Amino acid sequence: MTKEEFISKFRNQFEETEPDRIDFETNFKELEEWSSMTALIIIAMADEEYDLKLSGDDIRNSNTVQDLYDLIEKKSNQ
Amino acid sequence: MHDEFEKYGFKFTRANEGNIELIRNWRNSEFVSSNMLSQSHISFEEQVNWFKNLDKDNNYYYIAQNSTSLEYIGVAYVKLIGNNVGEPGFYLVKEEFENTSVSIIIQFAFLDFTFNTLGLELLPTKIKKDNINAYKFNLAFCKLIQEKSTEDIYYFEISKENYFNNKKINKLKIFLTKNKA
Repeated sequence: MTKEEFISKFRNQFEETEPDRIDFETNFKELEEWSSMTALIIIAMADEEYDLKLSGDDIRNSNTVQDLYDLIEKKSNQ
Repeated sequence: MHDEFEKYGFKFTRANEGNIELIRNWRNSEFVSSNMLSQSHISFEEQVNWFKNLDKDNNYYYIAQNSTSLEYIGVAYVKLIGNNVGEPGFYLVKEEFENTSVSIIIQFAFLDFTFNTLGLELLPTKIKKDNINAYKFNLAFCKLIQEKSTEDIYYFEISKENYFNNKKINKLKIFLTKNKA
């Protein structure tokens, strides 16, 4: 998993947010489009793309896109 | 009829004389009542009378719990108003569940129940305009009816056909079924 691939996949989960509004420093929960639906979509993305289980707590405890990337990378290496 | 059902890792128990006090306490909490169209406090006697007089053939109230931990998550309900139309409602019982996947999963489970088990075809719903989370949820896959919305209320509708043909919902439900989330 490269950082570029990850952020591209992450951006693709949003329908209304312009891709250039999302970078690794973005607090994704502050995006206008963010909702409980988006949280579930991100959990499903981690399962489908990386075969990883993210929990609701994982999302709750992450703030930036970098936090999520680091978490997925850590879980990938376990 | 339909006293209990389970879906996507959540258990739904129909309101009964033994659990309506739980529902009253949640409904009276500031967190829940602030998002309701009516914020009036409900007394014990009012709750008992409400349930006694409730038309139980046409009103389905359920408490949703995590199937494993049995933690209480929310209350979901639907009032059948004829012609296969039902007015749904839903609230979380704790603020910590707001903006989490749990709230979505429970609503999918309940929508599946209303359409598949109760046989409803259309669900119209009214949401306070300051209830941002409910607004975002409904906007994601319900139809906003501008002409019926007012200064304070959004009016949404979702049909059985649109719900089951929504690709995003279907994709998420496959994930939920696979993972029993």
